[in-house]
Amino acid sequence: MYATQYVRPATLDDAVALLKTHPEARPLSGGMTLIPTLKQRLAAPSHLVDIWRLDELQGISASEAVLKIGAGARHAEVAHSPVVAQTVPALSHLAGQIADPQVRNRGTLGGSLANNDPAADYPAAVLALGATVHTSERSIAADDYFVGMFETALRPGELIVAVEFPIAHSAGYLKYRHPASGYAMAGVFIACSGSDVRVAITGAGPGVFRWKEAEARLRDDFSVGALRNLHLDCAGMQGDPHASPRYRANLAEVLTRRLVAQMTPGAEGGAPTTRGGGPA
Amino acid sequence: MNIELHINGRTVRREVDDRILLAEFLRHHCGLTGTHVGCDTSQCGACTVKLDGAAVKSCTVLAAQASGGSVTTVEGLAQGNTLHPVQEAFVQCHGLQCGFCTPGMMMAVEHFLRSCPASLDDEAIHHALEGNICRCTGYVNIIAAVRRAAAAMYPREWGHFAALAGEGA
Amino acid sequence: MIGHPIARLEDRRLVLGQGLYTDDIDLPGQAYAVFLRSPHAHARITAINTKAARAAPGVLAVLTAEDYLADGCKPIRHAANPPDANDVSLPWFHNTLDGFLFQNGHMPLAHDKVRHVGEAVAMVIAESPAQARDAAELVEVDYAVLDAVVRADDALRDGAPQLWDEAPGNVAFREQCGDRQRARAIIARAEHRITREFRISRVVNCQMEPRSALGLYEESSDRYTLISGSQGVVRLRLSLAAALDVAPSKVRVVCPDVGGGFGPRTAIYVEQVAVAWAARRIGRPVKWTCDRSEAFVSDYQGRDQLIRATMGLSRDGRVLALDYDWIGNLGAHTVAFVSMGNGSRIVSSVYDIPATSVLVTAVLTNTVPTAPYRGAGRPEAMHVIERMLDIAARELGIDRLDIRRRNLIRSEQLPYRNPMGLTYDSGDFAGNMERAVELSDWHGFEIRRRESQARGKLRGIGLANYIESPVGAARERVEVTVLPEGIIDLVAGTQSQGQGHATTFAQVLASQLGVPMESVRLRTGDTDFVSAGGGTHSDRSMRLVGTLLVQACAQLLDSAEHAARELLAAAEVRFENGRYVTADGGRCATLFEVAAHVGQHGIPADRNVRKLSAVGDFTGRLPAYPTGAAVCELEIDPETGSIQLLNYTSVDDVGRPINPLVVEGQVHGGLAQGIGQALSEAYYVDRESGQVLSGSYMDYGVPRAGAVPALTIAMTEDRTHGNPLGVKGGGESGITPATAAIFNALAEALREVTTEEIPMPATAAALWEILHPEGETAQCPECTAEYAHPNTP
Repeated sequence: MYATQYVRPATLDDAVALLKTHPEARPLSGGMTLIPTLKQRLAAPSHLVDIWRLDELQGISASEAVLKIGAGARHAEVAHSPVVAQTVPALSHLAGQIADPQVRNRGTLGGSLANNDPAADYPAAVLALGATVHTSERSIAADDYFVGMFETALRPGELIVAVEFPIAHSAGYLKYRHPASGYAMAGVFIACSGSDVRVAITGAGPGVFRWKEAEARLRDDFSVGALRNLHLDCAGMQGDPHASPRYRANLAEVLTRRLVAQMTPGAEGGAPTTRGGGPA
Repeated sequence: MNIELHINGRTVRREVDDRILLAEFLRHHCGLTGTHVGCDTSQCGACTVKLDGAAVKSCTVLAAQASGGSVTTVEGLAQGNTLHPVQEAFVQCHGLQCGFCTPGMMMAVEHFLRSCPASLDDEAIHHALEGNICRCTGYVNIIAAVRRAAAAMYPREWGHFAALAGEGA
Repeated sequence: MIGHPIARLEDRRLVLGQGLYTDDIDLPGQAYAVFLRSPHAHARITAINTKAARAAPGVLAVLTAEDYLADGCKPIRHAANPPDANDVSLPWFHNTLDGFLFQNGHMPLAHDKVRHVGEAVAMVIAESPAQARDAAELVEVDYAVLDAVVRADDALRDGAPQLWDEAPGNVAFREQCGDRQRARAIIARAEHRITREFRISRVVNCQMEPRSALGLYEESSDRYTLISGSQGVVRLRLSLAAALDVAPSKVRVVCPDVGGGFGPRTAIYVEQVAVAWAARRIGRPVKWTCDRSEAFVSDYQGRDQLIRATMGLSRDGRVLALDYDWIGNLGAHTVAFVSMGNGSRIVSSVYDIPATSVLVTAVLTNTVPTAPYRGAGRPEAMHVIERMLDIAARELGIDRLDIRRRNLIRSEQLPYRNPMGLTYDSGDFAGNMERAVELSDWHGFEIRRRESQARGKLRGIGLANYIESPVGAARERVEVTVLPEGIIDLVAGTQSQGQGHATTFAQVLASQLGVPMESVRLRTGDTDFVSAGGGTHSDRSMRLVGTLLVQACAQLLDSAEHAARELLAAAEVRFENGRYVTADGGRCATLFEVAAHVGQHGIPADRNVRKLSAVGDFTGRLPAYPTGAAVCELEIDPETGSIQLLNYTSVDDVGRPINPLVVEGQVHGGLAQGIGQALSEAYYVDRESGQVLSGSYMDYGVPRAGAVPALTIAMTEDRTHGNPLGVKGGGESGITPATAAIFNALAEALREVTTEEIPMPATAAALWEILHPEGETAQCPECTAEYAHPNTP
């Protein structure tokens, strides 16, 4: 990688100040995305500002209605947290499927959201749960946060501090893994709160998005039957040598149906996701 | 910059370039070549070490990020002349052929077995090894080695796997 | 000791992290090399400007082809045409059409032209790897981009871009194996004919240890040394010496621990030549280690064979003749012809087919050069015949097992000379198949299929018989020396990259000499003491070394006996359990004590000889034919195209397994590679531009834990009499039938959906497209054309 300077600020304020002082500096959290990027020489930041240990970014706590996870929470922490398991178990399930055990020991919620990889898992949860992203400057609603491929509403030097997830009365996540990278070729997060249903899809498009037609149908009738003959338009879906746009659209449809089936008490459900293919 | 790390029980201090990866630091500045680099997209896991108690890919961590912490590499697994149960299991089960992925693989297994696993079924083990690639063994004997190591480390819960040697899935 | 599943002696140091692989080695004063590689698949190099790079911090040299040639070095001449299967004095391909056979000189740094993405163009050497990389970005190369061609059949078309002026039509050679006229005549008269095209995909080796090379030159002795992982030092030494234009005695090649070989590390690489050359030029050791992404465009790759097959049968399913067009994609350089050679001789497999014809066409394309990859031609041959038999069974309404039974070579027919001149001496082909059928509960399949169907899944089962024709380098040499300090020193010309030779050779020696296995010390991998030998590939090592060990030990014991009689002052002694015992049993001497005696007094026959040792040296062929059968059962999820392998049965006759634990490990590993090729290892290259689209583990799906399903292995043993240990070879059993068995299962699962060949790899996306052809759901016009599986016709 290109030469750079590593700094480890003691506080969040110090970190923000460093980023403001050095416009070519980048924040470094777990590094699971940034380090490989630097190794490929795809970026040349002047400084790497290590925020991984900052106290202000740690912590998982819950109130009656909200689960709050610090931006510095590692995926492994979220996956094994009793607080998350008791409030939004779909998040434990999601976190436990990100990448692999070693990556989960380093990668963080904040890092994942700041990067907004179109095939990352967390964006689907944040969008479907209608979470609020709290930064060093403001609070951003999920619907406003994801702007485009690898693009978010964050301003230069703005750091995610924590994410507040409304505690849905039921939620679920189902993902189909790319056979090589392990990223989501399609990942579907469904959250039900009161009468509201939100369906967020990652991996299939240029960024996470809500499937509004599916939401409308499921609001009326939360069942697999409600989704009959509903197809996701493949225009705008990602295509590459591994999978055509219409295959990705199909995966998103299938996962949505299967997740609804799993979340419907008493009905026939799909099996949990398995490696190298996705739902059995 | 100045790196200070506690590696396999010894304190190491070195002055290195900020961008040096933990894997390179271990291999070329500490003489610990047991940790291997097998890829450049953080996919293969051959570089896995334990950092502050958790298995990580040392090719994706700067030595600077780790500085102040504690690292265990494959060279730190054995106790004197006695192999760690994971090492012993790999040998008994023929869980290695060329040996290149093996240090990282064993560190991942050691992490999985750091506390008594709730399940040792295929799915649990596959999930634990998701971050490690092996090209030689087809994983069959590695999976057997995981069970055998668990049997040695947690005889009460998993002792019934003790007889495994070279048994396939 | 032979036949025992003993844990490996070499493992302790490996699990302790004491393995010594090339990149682990640092020499004082070493400099670091980085290669600048072509971003284009085909281009003329019009200018290279290294001025800025040379001035960059820490840079010692920036070298190009001009420098290489100016120093009197030569292009690499690969030994692409191996010795013939039967007569090693002849090259394999010795009867080419028009006598034309093109082998190019392979320049370590591209001269005038680049012919594949990733071809090395310049070499930057600096004090640190980072400085070398920084400087490499300052090298300016002007390219005049040319049209590229990626597929072998595209390269054969009129008007295709031409890679080499000396190879018109991109053909390196064509050779007709077998009598084509006869085969065609039989097929023309046959009651039934099948014609099918098989695109066997290209695979990337992905051995875990990235290639690395350390070159040094010592002025005082005028000697080059190359330290580099490989599959054999002897061959590398010859290739390197020839490239550097020096006598082999001026070159030493050392091979430390090797992290996986699989075939593509047998031939020499440009980087290995370059570091040795550069070390002399700059007067310091030069070290280079490949990045994984770099490996995806520079490690020799495997397979990529296009086989157009025609089979003629009688109405009751007797195969009368095969006629193939076998088009091999060599890539940009003629590194190896092995796969086409091996494959073409074994097309009839274990079946009694009277006439076979294979027209081999070796084609050059703008892709990374190909080399033998585990199985090298035999898996491809098995794939074709086994698929054809299933197709024939379906078309003729014959049971898939029955059609095979009707064609299998019967035991009474052994030794059986196949139509391409290979003589199988042993093998219970029918027995192996029946065992696989029984172990896989083949006959219970229909019930299981209906059960899957009830769950909305498509289930399939497939079988493949196989036979292997291991050949490999013709020469091998061993030296066995008994050392008084209790060591049996064994020098061999083979090179383990994980096959466990330190243990398995020790087992043989222990059994022959009655010594403890732990007393055996295997030394390989240094031309300073390995004077001859062929390396390790093509299942050759135990077959050849085992044989030589038996011979050498017999000689050694003969020598030892004379010395023992002297030592024990006895007219007669007998040898038992590692010691010589007098007739009355009163006195004895261990082999080591005899060696000590010889060290002092010499051997009785020649007092000048003070070592108790023997040499085995052989050049020729020791043919053996590992064989067996495999069954694969799988399930497809039609909604996603996802494939789940349910179970796999492998019946393998490796002759006598020296160490069943090791042999089974080889089956596991080979099977995983076969599964990878069949289902997930997709090396996508843009057909027009030659750009590599699968350039890392992010895109190329090497199998991970769980790839191999529930597995049943049964070793059957029909020992060959072609060598004293009865060894056939166990390194390639797992892989040889794998894609055939899997694709037969896939075809069966999809029998109601398609009769066309499923593309390889059969990814979930590919299967889904077959299950849901365009037009069935939402219209998406861009999809079909742009996102067609790259390996479809």
